[in-house]
Amino acid sequence: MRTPEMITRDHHLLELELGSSKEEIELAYQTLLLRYAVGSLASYGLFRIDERHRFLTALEGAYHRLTKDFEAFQTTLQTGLDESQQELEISPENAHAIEDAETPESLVDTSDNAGNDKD
Amino acid sequence: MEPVVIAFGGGKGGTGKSTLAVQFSISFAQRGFRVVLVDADPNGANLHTFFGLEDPSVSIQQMLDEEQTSTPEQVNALILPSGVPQLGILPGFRDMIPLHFSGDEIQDVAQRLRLLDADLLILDVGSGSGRWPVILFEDANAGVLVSLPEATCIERDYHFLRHVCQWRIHEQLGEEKPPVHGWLPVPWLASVRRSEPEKAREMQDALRRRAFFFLVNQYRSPEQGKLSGEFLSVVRRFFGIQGYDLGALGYDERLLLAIQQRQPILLSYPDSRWVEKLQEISDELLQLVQGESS
Repeated sequence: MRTPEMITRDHHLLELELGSSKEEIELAYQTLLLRYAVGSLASYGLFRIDERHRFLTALEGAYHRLTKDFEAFQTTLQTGLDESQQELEISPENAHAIEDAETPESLVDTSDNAGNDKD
Repeated sequence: MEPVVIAFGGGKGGTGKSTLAVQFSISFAQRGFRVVLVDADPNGANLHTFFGLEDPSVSIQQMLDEEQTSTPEQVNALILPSGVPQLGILPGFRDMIPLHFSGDEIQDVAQRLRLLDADLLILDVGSGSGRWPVILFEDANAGVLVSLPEATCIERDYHFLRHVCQWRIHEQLGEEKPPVHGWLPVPWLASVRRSEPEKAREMQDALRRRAFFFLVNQYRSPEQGKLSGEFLSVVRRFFGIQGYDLGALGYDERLLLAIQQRQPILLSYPDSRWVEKLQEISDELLQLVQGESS
């Protein structure tokens, strides 16, 4: 189970705001990978070799976790949508009710109580 | 009113600090400021040569003698005319170099330099991460770190910035300095924060106290020209200090020609693209420095 702290830490590692899109996660990872890769000019001499390796591994881990989180979120979202869709599907039992509801008469309440609220 | 001090420094020699200090000084003088260019490079003093001054009679060495340079009259007597209107020059060390000076002694020299009658003091503090260049760089109103798009340079720049961070923490908290080899201030602060959160916060404030300026010199490809943005992102993340991107100056052979002719490029090739770019950076730097100083 991923805690909010873990998710926040992964965002920090990739220098991202919480709630970033999949494209932003991808772009951040690629940018950092270039910036901190072995032989990168911008970070030359910054780390010891083992430190650089550890840092790159941490970036890769954060990237994979956030991508998975995002995919899991998408799946959950899709599942939720599918379930909602199913609930909306018309069963034979309620088909008549819906048909009735869609008749012009149903749009006008003809019961005795009609208009009581207005009195 | 004290002059505004702009120091040019960097981790490695040969990046063009002296050349740029000269060109920026001329640029500022051309805008009407009274400028004094101070050759404070302990290892490669030769700014006087840029102006065709041979064997100058005075030098910054005399500034090391507190008794002889304690009044504005004494200090201003050391300034030579450069030949450029509004620009004076204090030539560099001739033999003795201040490697043994303590932090307090270096700060005293910096303070006496502020007695100079000028609007702007431009200091070439030389290269390396010793006490002298680091403290003069930090004591200035603005420190410009000049670099080249080369691995050897970037490596030394990180080393220089480690010393800058050390000095900031030491100066603010009087703390014993952390070991500098391979030191990365931000991860180190995270470990301090676990045991001493208040102290870590003060150290973080010390690091953030001021921004430095970063300028890439002699780039030859568009990718190299973008180095400063990348470098400053790394610095922000691992050193916890802010750097301001002054951009990049491209390689221009006319610069070498001007040096060979012992003429500043601003005077010999004033219409070149290089000079145009330098003038743009000069505008920006002035605005930023004046904004901070006021």
